Amino acid sequence: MLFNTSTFFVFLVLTFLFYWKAAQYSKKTSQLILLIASYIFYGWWDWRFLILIIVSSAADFLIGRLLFNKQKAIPRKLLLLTSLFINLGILFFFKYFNFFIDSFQALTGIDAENSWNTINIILPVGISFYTFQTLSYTIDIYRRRIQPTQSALAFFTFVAFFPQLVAGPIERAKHLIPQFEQKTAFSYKQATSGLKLMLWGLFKKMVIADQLAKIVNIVYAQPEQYGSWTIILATFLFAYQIYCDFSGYSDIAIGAARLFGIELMTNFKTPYLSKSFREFWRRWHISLSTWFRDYVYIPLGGNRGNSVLWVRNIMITFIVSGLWHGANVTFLIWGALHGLLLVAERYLFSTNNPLNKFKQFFGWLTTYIVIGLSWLPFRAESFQYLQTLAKNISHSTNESQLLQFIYNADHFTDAGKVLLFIFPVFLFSEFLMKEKSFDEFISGFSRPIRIGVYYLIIIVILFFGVLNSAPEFIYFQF
Amino acid sequence: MKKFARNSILFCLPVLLGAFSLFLIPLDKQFAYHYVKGECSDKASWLYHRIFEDERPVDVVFSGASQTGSAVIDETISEELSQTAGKNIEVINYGYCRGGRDIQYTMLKDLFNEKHPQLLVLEVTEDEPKKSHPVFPYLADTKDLLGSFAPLNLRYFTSIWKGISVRFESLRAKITNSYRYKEPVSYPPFGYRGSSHTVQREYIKQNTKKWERRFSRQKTERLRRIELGYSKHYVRKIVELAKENGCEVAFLYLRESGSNLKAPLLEEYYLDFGELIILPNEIFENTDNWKDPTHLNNSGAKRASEFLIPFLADYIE
Repeated sequence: MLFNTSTFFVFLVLTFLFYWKAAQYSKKTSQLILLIASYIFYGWWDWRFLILIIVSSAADFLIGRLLFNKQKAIPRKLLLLTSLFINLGILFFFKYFNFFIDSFQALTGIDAENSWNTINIILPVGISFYTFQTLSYTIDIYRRRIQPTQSALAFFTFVAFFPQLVAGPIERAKHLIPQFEQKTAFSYKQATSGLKLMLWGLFKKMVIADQLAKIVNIVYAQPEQYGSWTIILATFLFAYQIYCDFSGYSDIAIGAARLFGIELMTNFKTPYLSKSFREFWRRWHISLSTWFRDYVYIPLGGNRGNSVLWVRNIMITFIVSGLWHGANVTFLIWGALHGLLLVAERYLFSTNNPLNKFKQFFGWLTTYIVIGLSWLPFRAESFQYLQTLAKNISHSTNESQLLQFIYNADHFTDAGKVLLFIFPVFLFSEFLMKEKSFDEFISGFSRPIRIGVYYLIIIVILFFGVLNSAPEFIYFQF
Repeated sequence: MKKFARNSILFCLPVLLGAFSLFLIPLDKQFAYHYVKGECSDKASWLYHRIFEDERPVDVVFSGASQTGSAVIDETISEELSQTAGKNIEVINYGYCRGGRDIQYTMLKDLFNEKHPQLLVLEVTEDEPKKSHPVFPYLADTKDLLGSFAPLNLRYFTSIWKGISVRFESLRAKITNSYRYKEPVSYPPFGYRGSSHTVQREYIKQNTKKWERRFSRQKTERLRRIELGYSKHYVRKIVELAKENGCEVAFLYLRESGSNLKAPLLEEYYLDFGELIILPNEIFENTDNWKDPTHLNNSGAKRASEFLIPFLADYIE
């Protein structure tokens, strides 16, 4: 069930009505409704996925309670390892099994036909997200940072909460479980801010991301037909496509959660306005980067120790983060590249002095261009494909191809042409918003302007959004 | 909560009003017929072409579901009738996938607005379909769509939504100039969609069992009346439409391979409106004549069409 479909709209309205009706009588009933709704939402893709999420939730709920009661180090470690084994085992099997078999065969030169065969596995939607979420719960109990919840209902809802189940934000138990346990009262302000965020999220997804995708997909479908500038243009458009797709999803998720009185963490803060790579990672997919910081980077030693160890820690964290996105060598390259960028930035551009305007601008421009180009391996479907892209970028410099692509070819649909006007407006509003979310930003205007903007967004979505056969959110595949 | 509900409704009101005001705009038939692309081998596009763009007249029209589409070779019948009558007789296979009398009515209404057939042959199967056709809301005029409410038409509200969608998409395409009607290189001249495939006997047996199970379930007369009310209503409307346009009506019984029902369950009902043509049993009993358990193949269609020619010749005369 995709957020940008009428099915989800009906589902959301019904869940909202039942939830708040039940909340008038009993907290448990309303929570149960939320859990059932979340399972319906997830089972809509494939009911078999539910088995995995229930197994994963049950295992961590039990392990969490056992961990808390054990005082000795060895049994505690064993329990933590069990949780890691179950969660990472499921993740590894469904996401990486074929990748590692293929890679092993490729590296060792073993003939695929005479060795192990890869198996046909369906990747359950959102598995990387909820696995990390539930894993953080047991790790935090192990570190004695949180106490296990006594309510199985609250824990199962924490793992399966439908707004953030399939693509985050990856929440922490400390932040989310208490919200399920407390009795919530309906807040008009919270609910309306949720609706505003959802509207903005839908705009970003359906108008910007899905329209840009049409152009990007054409270039990336046959990169050998295009010259360097066209591929670079498509890559920069992809940077906005993936940003609007994912941050749009996050806005809808945060907004939908607010309708049920739940606050989720912010996931994006206008990342393309960052003035350094370090800042970019504080603004891009915040819930994942902080997860890796807390559960991979810091346990590895963080920035303690000498420079070599720090470089090692950064590189491991980013390579693992790249692999988290998918079982493909291109993601590994993408992760490693970002690790290297952070290392290079620290040693080449590190300064403790406040940056002047020019340096700020230069920092932004460099970050913007390099980050934009770094999407190249992310978007490439395979290593061979990445090589083709690189070859076309470096060899073909026929600039007229770019102009031809924009003006003459049938690639820019009529809606795409309109996008040329809408896209700059979007960029300008993002610039004005800075780190504010849409609902915070819009609240600064008078009521008639606000209402006018809402209707304008609805009209733009209806007339210029991709309504039929809308593609899935990119991050669902991770 | 009350404030939230009230303000949400007030906010949505203009959007809802805007959506319903789309019904005031006449449906763009060209857009609508091409909007249902991907359904029934794009036959709707062909039908649009045949009704609105092809200048050939229509003398005999076979209307029904995919059973008609795969059983009536309109090209052969046209040639034979033309020879018999000594003048050009144009026959059209109007069969459109899946059952639903409402879409047949809608398509025939468009046909009668443009052409003047002398004979309408309406397909009947063992029993009348109970549901509205899923494509009906995309092609129906506002009056027909809103007036399609019936107690057991569970698709009514979905149909209204689809009706809004197609009108909105049409408007959106005009405003954004994104709809380009691309004429295909050539449309086939006739509507028959044949197949040379022959069904496996196993599937026919399964179909027989299905019908045995179905016949073993007895329904009360009252329930049947309610269930069939929607379809019967449209059969009546189709007959009235034909009569208003000076067109004769006959019914053609096309049963499934496994039903073994010699005549339709509503035989008496159809006979009130016109003649009922029943094809020889040999056609249905020969497994080689079936593409699948419910559709005839080229061989079956050839025999069925040959059998139909003398009947039609009588009408034309």
